[in-house]
Amino acid sequence: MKKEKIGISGERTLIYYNFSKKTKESEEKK
Amino acid sequence: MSELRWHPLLKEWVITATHRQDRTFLPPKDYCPLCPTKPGAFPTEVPAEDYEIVVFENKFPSLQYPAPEEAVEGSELYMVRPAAGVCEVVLYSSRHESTLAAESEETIRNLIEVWTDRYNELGSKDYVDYVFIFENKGKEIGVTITHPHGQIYAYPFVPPMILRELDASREHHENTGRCLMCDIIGEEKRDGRRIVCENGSFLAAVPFYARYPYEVHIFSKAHKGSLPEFTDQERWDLAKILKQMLLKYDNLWGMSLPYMMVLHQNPTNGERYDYYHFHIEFYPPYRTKEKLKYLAGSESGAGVFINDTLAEEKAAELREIEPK
Repeated sequence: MKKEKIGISGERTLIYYNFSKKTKESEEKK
Repeated sequence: MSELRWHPLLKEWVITATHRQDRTFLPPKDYCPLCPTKPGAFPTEVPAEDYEIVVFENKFPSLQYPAPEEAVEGSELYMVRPAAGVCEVVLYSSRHESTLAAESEETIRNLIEVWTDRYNELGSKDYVDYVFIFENKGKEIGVTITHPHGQIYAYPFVPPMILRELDASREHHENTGRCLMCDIIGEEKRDGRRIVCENGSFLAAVPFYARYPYEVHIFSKAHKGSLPEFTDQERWDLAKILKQMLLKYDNLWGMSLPYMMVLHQNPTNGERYDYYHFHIEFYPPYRTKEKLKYLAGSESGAGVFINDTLAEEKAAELREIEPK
């Protein structure tokens, strides 16, 4: 899981959670 | 304006958040604030053309940090506290028409990882005593934006319903030396009639004490108190049973069933709660395909739920439905 935090309007925080690579690895485990 | 006002009769906090009256209400699809921002289109909350899972602080929060100044002064009887905390929105998918039920097991597994991350991060803040993860789905529940999303409230206190569960669990543990929820799971397994589905790590049942006709609780079979304690296998099993349960709900009457989904886990106030046990509760508001279950006089005014159905019959109905 990769997290990327950015600022958005109103001094708020937004976090992108990316899994594309992790999901493939997990799929093999599954 | 936002603050916590003490209810001296019920001994619980009420959050006032007057700015929420102006929040977005059922916008047309082309103006959904939770969709990705497309080139040349209006800017949404997410400044990207696509995303997997996104979490952001609510534009209209009931709780925030630093908390705004209170609108009124308190007294010894009428206590007032700043509404310090965090309110987050969790976007499950960039696809506006999707639902959690329509997402893959992999996406739900990823969502569980996001929930775990938020539990850890928000729970580590000194002004947060409880991280409450939930989803309100459907207009019947009062949802104001239909894009698939859940929410997280990081409260500066342990909420009253959790306190009652904690008290009951502690008392049971003191009296018997056993976990209350583990005993409930044992009772449900011995009887069997109320079980809807299960896998290696989780069991879904319409519990003996269901208050809503189609209420379902998903119990962790292992005695674990919160999301970070789960193994990779348990996270996959939780994703599988969630997907299975959500599909059963949608196939019940061939419609996307509205519900409230709430996660009950350990507080994050620094105290130990070894006697408590992780579970997820679903409260769908329908009692038949056409009729809603209202929280009317008895439920709202006396705290006494009246369930017009038998948990054993509703569980059998849900058990028979194919999760396809």
